[in-house]
Amino acid sequence: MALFGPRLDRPTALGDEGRPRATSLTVASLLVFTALIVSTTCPWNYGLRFDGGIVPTLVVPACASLGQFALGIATLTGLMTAGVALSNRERFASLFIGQIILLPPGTALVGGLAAMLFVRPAYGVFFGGFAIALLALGSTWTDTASASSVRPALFQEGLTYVSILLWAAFGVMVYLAVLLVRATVSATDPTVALFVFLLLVGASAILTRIGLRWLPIRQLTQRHRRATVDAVLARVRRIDTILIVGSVVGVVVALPLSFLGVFSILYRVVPFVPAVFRLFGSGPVVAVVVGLGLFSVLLGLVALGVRRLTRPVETRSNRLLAPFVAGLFLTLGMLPFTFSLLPIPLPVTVVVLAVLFGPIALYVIGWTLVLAEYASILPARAGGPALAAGGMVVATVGAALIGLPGPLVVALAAVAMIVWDVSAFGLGVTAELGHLPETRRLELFHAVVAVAVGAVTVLVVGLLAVARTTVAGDRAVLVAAGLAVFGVLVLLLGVRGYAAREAMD
Amino acid sequence: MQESTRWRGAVAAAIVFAAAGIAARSGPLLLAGIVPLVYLAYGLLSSAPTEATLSVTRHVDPELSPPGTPVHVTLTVTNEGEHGLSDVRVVDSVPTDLAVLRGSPRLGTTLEPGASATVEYVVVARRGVHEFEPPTVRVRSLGGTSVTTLGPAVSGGTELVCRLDAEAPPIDDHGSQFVGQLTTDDPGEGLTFHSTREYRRGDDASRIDWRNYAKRNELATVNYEQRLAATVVLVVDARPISRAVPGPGRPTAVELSAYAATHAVRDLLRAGHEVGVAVVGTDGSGPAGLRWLPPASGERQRSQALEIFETAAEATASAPDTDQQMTELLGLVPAGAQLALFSPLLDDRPVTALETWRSQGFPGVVLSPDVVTDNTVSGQFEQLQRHTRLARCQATGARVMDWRRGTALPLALEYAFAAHERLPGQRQAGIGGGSL
Repeated sequence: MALFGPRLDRPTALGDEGRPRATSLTVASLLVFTALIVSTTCPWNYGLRFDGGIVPTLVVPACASLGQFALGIATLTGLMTAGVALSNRERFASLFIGQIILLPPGTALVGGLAAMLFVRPAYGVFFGGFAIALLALGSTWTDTASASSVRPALFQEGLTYVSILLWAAFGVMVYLAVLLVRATVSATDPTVALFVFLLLVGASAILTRIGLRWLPIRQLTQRHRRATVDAVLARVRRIDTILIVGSVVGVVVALPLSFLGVFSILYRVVPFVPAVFRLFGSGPVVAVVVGLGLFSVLLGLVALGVRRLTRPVETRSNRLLAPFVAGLFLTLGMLPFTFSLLPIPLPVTVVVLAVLFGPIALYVIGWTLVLAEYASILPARAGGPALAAGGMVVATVGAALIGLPGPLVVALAAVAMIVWDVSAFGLGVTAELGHLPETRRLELFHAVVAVAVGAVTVLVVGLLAVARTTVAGDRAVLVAAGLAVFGVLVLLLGVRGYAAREAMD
Repeated sequence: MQESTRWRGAVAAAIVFAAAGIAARSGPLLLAGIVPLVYLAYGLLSSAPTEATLSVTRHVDPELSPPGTPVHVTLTVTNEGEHGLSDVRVVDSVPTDLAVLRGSPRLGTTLEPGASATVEYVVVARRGVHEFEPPTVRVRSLGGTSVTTLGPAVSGGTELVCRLDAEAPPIDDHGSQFVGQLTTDDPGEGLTFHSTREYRRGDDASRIDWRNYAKRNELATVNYEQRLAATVVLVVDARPISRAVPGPGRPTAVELSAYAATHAVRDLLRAGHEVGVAVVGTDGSGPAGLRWLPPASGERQRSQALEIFETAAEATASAPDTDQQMTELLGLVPAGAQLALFSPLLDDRPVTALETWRSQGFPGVVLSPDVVTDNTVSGQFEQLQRHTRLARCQATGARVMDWRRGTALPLALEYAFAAHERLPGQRQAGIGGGSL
């Protein structure tokens, strides 16, 4: 089911796999989202102030600023969910956009949460829990919570990261080359001009060789002229090889000669040689040599691109090419953009560390989840609901640590249980009945019962929490509550054994 | 009764809350540890009803149908007990040979006392008798953790009978009054008005259009639809390649061909014509393994033809030499008979055979059931090839009918057996360029 835009999940006609039914998942999503909004905007602290007049002023509590983080986390997790879903597609455009909206938000989320854990651990735990829950629910909606869906996304994410590094290295090399060319053009020393000229000839010959390899010259030639063109191409390749080898040999030979002072003697003996060497390093000559190589390789790239676009969908090569292109896009545009959007003014070192190591951390976290499923720590089919509930448990611990009111902490714990209950129930309905039959009534009834149980529990335990702060001392209540939990656990184990025996009878 | 292990994680959550609460000396966290335990208790203590009173009624419409037709199945589950059921899941047992075309044979709902829920779905009929087993009904506890599987008795329809002659009258029923006549497009003497023409000397006075004379003071003669007798041999292509299906649970092309031929036999015999039957592609007792029924008329002929068609639809063995059968067939067909071929045209052999028949002067009709799906590239390619074969058949001068899914069989047969060109002694088109 798509709430808006194109649907991100891949509905199956089989019906015995996939995500829980939409109604159950809607209830779980609404509960988590409401819990996030309520616990980060603390509406119970809002108030009205009458400053002498009859028009009141709204008093916004300081804790309401947490709502900004909530909004940021929700946006980032939403983008990541869509990114993972698109990374499981076949078409180049989907895979490309998938990487664009997976890697930067993922890096930002991991970096932000890591920084928060370092600076304010309690808030890190709280928002980390909600991030896990939102990601898990989003992935469950898009049916990409399983290891088989996360793996391709991680594979491409890794490739994109490597591609970013390669493109960055390439950019540095290009920059250095430009500096070199500029130095050559402005160089007055004829020996330096000769060396750089030889290097440029070699590089240009290599680029020309690559461009010729990619260009479909033979294929575009008429059949009766192919023999002639083949001969010409063979000659060009031979010249190219001679130029590459010649330039390398030239540098290797010229270097010791230069150290031995042979060039100084040559310049004295043959006066016009320095002028000739300077001519090699002059602007027009360098432009022609470099331009030839660049032109060939650019033409080859265009030919490759056209061939790529006109080829039918081929998933494997698309999954290799999309991260490569996404890496270029991110290197050129998105990284500076991401830097400029960082909400918290952090030192540049921290930002650089986050950008460099964020994707690696994201990769490691993703593989941890995959391995958790392989090791059966996460249930194979119910990974999404289990993670969502687990995230809410973590968020509950965080909420207690940052000092949110007791009843709210208990409510968050109830939400964790309801999320698991309704999601697992919806998954069971999908497994047993498939996607086709109308089961809204069944799911809603179960959800209402689960929410009612949660509401009663929150009411009773919340009252206990309030009583704890007003009536009893902290130490006494801690001991009492610990004993209560232990007692209920022992009691339930007994009941469980009794129920099992009853079932056998 | 089965118990679910869904709440095992709740124990872990309680322990996490308790441990974190003790470590952080947080009262709310310790109290939050109670919440998972409440849900665990709620899951464990609620149990599914072991004896739910459910009545189940199934309605199959129609219970007797020809192959390829949609059959509506309605299953109604009623809670006859005094307590509501919070979770009832029903899965109807669709016979394994049938495929669900629309809807779902599954249902999940809650049922209050006296309330009913209905499952509606459509299956495609395939030849044979298909028994519906009782549905699987599962009821769950309020918490959804305890499950009881029930097998309630089913009233109403329990089987679907699919026969080739499902829409035909019984075998011993007598035919129509139009004995020995087949309608043609040529005008002449008969009963049904066809057209008027200028009066010629010698025309019978009963055929003069007196009303026209009164209006215009001109004599005109009324033409009636001419009726001629014919001998038709129905050839069913039952080769293994023709046993293709358009999808799982759908009838094979041979079944559809046999069904169409069954109806054609009925219609032609009712009109008093002599009908012969040949089945190629199976190993029968006739010449070269052909299943052959010489042309004759009467109800006995119809029952024998039906028997042959049913055998063809069930056949699994293939003929030793189909080309030999096609050649032998030409020797068996009486001079002047029409040949009606029922084939999905999934290869070139039927086309070659038709070209041979036409070159020998036999009028031809081709009725081709469409079993090729065109939602894949290979399917579209196959459909293109089939259309080419249909065009080649048409080029021989035969009347060709592409019987697409969704087209009513009577319409297809009516078009295919409109008489004109197929009558003996009429114009015959050469191979590759008919002048019809």
